[in-house]
Amino acid sequence: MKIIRQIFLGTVVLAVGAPALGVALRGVWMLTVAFGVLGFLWIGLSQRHRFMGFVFALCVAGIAMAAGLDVGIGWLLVGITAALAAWDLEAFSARMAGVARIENEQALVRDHLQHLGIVCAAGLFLATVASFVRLRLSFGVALVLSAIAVLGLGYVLRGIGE
Amino acid sequence: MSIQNRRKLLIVLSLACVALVLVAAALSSLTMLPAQTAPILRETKTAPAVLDLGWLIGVTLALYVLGFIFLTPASLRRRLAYAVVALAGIAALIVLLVWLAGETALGVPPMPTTAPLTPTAELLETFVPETEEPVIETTLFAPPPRWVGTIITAGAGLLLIVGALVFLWRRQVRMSETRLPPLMQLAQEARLAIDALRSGENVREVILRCYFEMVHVLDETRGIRRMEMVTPREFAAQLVALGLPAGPVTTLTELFEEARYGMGSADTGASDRAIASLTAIIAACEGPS
Repeated sequence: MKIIRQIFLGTVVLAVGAPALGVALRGVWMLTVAFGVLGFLWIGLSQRHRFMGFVFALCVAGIAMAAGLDVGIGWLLVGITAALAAWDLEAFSARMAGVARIENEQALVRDHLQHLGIVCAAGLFLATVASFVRLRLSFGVALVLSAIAVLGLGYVLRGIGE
Repeated sequence: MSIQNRRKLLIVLSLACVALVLVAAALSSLTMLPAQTAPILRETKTAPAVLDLGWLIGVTLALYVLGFIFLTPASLRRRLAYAVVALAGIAALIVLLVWLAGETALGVPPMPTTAPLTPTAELLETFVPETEEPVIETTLFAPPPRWVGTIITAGAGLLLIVGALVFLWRRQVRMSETRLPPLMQLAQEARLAIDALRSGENVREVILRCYFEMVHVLDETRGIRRMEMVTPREFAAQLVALGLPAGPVTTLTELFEEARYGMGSADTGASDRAIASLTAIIAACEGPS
């Protein structure tokens, strides 16, 4: 469990640090300070799972604001990926804490970290591709593609749940 | 999950990811054009406006139904039927309001018409035929009728009121839940778990959630914490000591252990046993003892 905590702290630092650096390079010091405060808040509240959704939402909102300020996309991609990883690790840690004794704990943690790493790498890669490719779609095509994405992801999530 | 299902999910996931990446790649070239007056507001007569609105509502409803059917499990589709009926009622009400407003507008007495002028000889002599010039159509901005503002304001107010009521109701429910004695809380959690099981939620997840909720209830109400030294079996013994029936508690504990530590997926038999155990626990909690 110690390694989970360490990785969690690292991802939180990345989640708030990368966008903070990005907005600092744009000279928006207010948002830089806000990201710093959010980082401390996140680490401070990490044992209380009820607030995690709120802190995560604040981080995403901050990154969205940074996107509106023309901050380099690399900072934001790293930030949002690390934020998602931190959120997942916190949830995983909370679930583990609810169990008295876990057999093969190391294997379980290793598997989870492997899966998380794959998902983060794939997400980062796809987001990077999407940010460098330039396309021009008509409204109708964009609507159809969005519908495919939403319905497809919903179908997949439901299938995994079943 | 079978390999065939996995493949199917993988294909759908790949398609969804490709679609998502394409949409994301197109976002950078997104251009916002200045707003245009909707054809509904440009129409001077009401009948086409009602038709347009009807089409709009019809298409929206159809998309909503399709999305709901694809995204909700079969057991929740009854709620979909209620939602569709309610939405159809609201849509019909809006169309009726638009139609009534149009009728009112058409009911305005027409402007008095004068008798047609007959051309005199002088006029015909001095008449010069107009050369054909391109006609430039200009669309003047027509402010929406007053009833549109009324409906929007009323709708926003209604939404705010309903939102506040829902918020207060949920808060009240949450507060009343915290006042329940531990066994009643346990019963409530078990009932929710049974509903989830029957609605087709993942059996393993439901068993785990139910178990963790029991841990949570005992922690909050009795200060019994499942620390490192407390095994699921010992915890089951504590539950039995609290007055819960030994058989169902043991079964549920075994199911938990199987779901939590077992490598295989929970089968439908486990689902039935979980439901039976939880039902027995509820019966014991609500009993006279």
